[in-house]
Amino acid sequence: MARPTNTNAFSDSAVVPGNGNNCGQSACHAPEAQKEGAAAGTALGRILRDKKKAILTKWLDAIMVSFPSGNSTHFRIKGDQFTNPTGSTISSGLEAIFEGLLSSPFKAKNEELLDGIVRIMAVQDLAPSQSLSFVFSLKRIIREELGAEQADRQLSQQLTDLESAIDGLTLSAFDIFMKCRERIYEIKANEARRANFRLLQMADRIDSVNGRRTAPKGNKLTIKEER
Amino acid sequence: MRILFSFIAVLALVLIAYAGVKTANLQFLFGVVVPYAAIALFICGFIYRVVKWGSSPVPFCIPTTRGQQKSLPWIAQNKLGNPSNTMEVIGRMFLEVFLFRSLFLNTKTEMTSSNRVVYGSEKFLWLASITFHYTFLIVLLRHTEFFVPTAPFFLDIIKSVDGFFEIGLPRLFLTGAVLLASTAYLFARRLYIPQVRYISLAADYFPLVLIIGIAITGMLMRYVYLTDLVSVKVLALGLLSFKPVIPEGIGPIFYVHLFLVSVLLAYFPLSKLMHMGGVFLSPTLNMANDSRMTRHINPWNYPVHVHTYEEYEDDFREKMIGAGIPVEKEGVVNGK
Amino acid sequence: MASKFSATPEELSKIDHNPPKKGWMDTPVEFKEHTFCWGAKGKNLAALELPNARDWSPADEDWKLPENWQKIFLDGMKERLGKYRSFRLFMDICVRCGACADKCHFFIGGGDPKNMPVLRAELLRSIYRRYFTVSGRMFGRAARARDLTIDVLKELWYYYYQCTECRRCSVFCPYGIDQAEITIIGRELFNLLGLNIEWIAGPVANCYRVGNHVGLEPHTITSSVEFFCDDIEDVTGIRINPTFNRKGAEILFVAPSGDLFADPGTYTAMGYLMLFHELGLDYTWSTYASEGGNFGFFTSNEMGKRLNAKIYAEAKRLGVKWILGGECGHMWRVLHQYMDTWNGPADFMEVPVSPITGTRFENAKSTKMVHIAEFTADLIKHGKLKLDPSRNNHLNVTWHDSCNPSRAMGLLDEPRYVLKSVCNNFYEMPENTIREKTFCCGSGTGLNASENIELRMRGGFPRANAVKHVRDAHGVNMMSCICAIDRATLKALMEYWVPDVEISGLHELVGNALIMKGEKERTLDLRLVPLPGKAAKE
Repeated sequence: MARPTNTNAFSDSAVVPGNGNNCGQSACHAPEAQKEGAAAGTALGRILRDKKKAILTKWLDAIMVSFPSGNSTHFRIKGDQFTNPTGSTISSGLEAIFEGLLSSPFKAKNEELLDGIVRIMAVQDLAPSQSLSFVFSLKRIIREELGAEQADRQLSQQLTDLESAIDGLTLSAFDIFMKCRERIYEIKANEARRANFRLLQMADRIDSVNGRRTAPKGNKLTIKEER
Repeated sequence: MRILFSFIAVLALVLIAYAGVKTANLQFLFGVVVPYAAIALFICGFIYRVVKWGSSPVPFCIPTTRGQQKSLPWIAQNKLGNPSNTMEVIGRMFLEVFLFRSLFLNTKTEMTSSNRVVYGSEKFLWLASITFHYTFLIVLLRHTEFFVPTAPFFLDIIKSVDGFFEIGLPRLFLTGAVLLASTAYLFARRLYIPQVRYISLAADYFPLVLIIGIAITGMLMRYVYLTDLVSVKVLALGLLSFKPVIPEGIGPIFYVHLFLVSVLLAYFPLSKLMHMGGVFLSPTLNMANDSRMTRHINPWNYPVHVHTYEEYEDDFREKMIGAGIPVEKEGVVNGK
Repeated sequence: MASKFSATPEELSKIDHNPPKKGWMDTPVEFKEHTFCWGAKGKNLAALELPNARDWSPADEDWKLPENWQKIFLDGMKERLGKYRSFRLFMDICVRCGACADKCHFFIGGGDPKNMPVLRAELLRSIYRRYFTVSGRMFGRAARARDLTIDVLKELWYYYYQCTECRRCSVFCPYGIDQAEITIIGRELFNLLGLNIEWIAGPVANCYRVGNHVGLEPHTITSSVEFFCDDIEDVTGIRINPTFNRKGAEILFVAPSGDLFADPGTYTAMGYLMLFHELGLDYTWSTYASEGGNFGFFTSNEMGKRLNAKIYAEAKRLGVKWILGGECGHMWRVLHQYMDTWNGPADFMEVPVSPITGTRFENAKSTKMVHIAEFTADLIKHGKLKLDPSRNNHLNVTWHDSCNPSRAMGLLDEPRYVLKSVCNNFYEMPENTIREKTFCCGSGTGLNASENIELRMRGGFPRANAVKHVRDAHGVNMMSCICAIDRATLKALMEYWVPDVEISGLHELVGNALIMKGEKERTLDLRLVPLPGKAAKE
């Protein structure tokens, strides 16, 4: 009888943040990070991987600052993808970005990694600077965590590469943010258009004074909403 | 602040009783007057609150449905989540009141890093609540031995199960320890879960601290400062028969315990603890989802100003006729 | 706007993990852009004979309240404490266990602690304690009681128009405390002061005079429906000629006016028309009772009753035997739990019997109104419809349980049965986001305006996130639902969060699958989009 056909919807799920979206897959002109992960397989990469937990914790702190005081509490609580979608999208998204920077070869595109988080940040009534400062803060956090080690000359070069990859991420984040904001205004416009479309369609064919249909059938407006 | 306030308040209560008995010899006040007053306040207050709730009518049939409705005969109804008659409502209320079903259903699915779904973390609230309430009940029942000349049949069963592990002498009653532990958990989660901490009031901490105080003083009496149970029974039977006596040889710790219990009783009707009575009256739980089968009557239903069909037709008659819609008054224009 | 861009690096690097240090009573409300709706226009309040009719804006310092607004508010509260046991009880028995805290979609999506249902209720409880309890009068702030000041009123208003009365919190509350009940009363109190929002007051004023929220006049309704019939003819080759305001029909059909107005609801309306035509149902539409939905319900109990009265009045005037209701969420909350009590008894009608299957709808024997999902499920069960579900094969469908039919009625398996009969690819969303635990679209109870778009996007995120999951896991590209507000607002929600998922009503998919007598070979769906693999051979 009326049983859900697929109650075990989790079975093949993966917590992949922001994969797949139409937010300008081709339109992001930010400098592509290297085909290899910026710090893949390098000495720096190994060091950062060891410090991953500390870095991600600090990074999560940094993004939470963007929210108004108190609003971030819930997002920090460990919840799952469905009971705490915002929090889990953010924390798993940060991890994915970090892994992306360290992985070899660079697995995913910037905008795929960033989309989940930025899409959330774009509707929190925050300034773009507040919404996206978290990407910059990764640079500071990495340097803090490296401490004295960064003086090493070999590391220093690798660090510069990594930081330019982060810069690339930042630019992509701005692209996504702008697309999201534009999308919001498109949505508003679409809603208005959907609300008026049928009326316009009718206006072309009925005489609103006596209510009689005036135009012959088939004389339809051609502004049917694009799909 | 809210937390500190609760601790200070309970500590003050302890000191008042202790000092009152130890230094001022106010045994009669703390052993007779206060308990009588507290019980009177409890009974009157409880009745007042319930009557007050009962005096507000239930104008609409508004059950919160938690499952499939009764509709077509071949669709299985969820009778306990979405009851359609009184028996099913009783079933729903039973699960709610005795098993805390809503809290039990408050599952959180957690996704582990290996993408395995595990259920359970939110069961702790349910577990702590249900152990708290049931151990409280058992401890209460255990106390009946003080109020009846011969022990009722259930007491031996409770005691033997309760002291099953035969630890210590006198034997450790599990319920006391579990009560204390679950109360402590309920208190701790108010501190450690940020959201719950944010919403908690002094009125949430105070009863918990008070109950912890009651449990500790009770256990102290049983295991540390052994109290003369025979004298306590004399006092209790005296209270019950309205011939109060203050027997000799009861230590101040007993009076502290009794005073805290009295405060709890007196505080009960003033506070959220009234959820004990309120849960039975909650219209979202205790109503059958039968509002399309039987008309629910609103006692204060009153006539309202509506826009009648006649007024509507007067507004639009011409357009209606133009569009071929039948009208009541053909040929009348603009209501004239 | 300028302030948005003024955050300094120092401000940005401050780290604050915890809830505000100050308690919620000391955290003043801040009206955030894109989060609240515009104030009701004076002319609409006046048209409805509602008090304090004037133009006002929530963003203004001065709300143009009457001199004695506190007294009006508190008197109103006192009156309602005596009239609604739910209200008095829910003010008293909350133990603040926190089970509801993370159940509200606005809280999950936006994180504002005052959107935890328990705290949203505490905002009003603090007033209740101050003026209606002994402890509150005696201990004041220590008992978390506070004076009703203008700032407190504004805070209440701001958050009570960030509640969609979806009842999800009530499902998890051990005492069944329903924030919707508290919000309903709260909004009644605001309406005593003329503090409605335009997105509610406008539709209510329309509905009162013209008969429906969107303000379609009678001739516009008929031509709207004729348009649908034109499209149906294009798709099926069959001409349908429905009737309006016809006396002596067996059944009166009432749908949400949104279905006559905007896509994709309009496709659902086509589905109704095709189904009824195929059955040869003796039914009529009404232009007077042309609205099943009821924004009056979001204004006050009295306003809800005033709008709802038209349905029984029209049924009586036309002399129908029973009423069939279309796909709409809060409409069914009202019809199921309120209509009979408000405007019954409906003893001038008969117990609904399906003229096709002979099924007696005992579950509607008093109200005499049947949900179309119940009606259609019964038809399919009895094999009365010829269906070709393969016409929906290009759709991977998931089902969104709308809040009100789920948690104020329990209509869960009927639509699923219909859905599984008309399409082959159906996938449920995760268990704790469906059925009675379903997530709101984030735009219910008149919050489907455009000025609060960010609030809607945040509030709808938990739902969208679950959709995204089934899209990624199963390629879902269509979410079906039985609510007109859902159809309008989930569309927008999907456009933002999960852009490749479309929204449909249940009967749009029924209309697609329905094999009609004498129809031509279908090459288009109801959206006039070519069916894959069945394109016209021209």
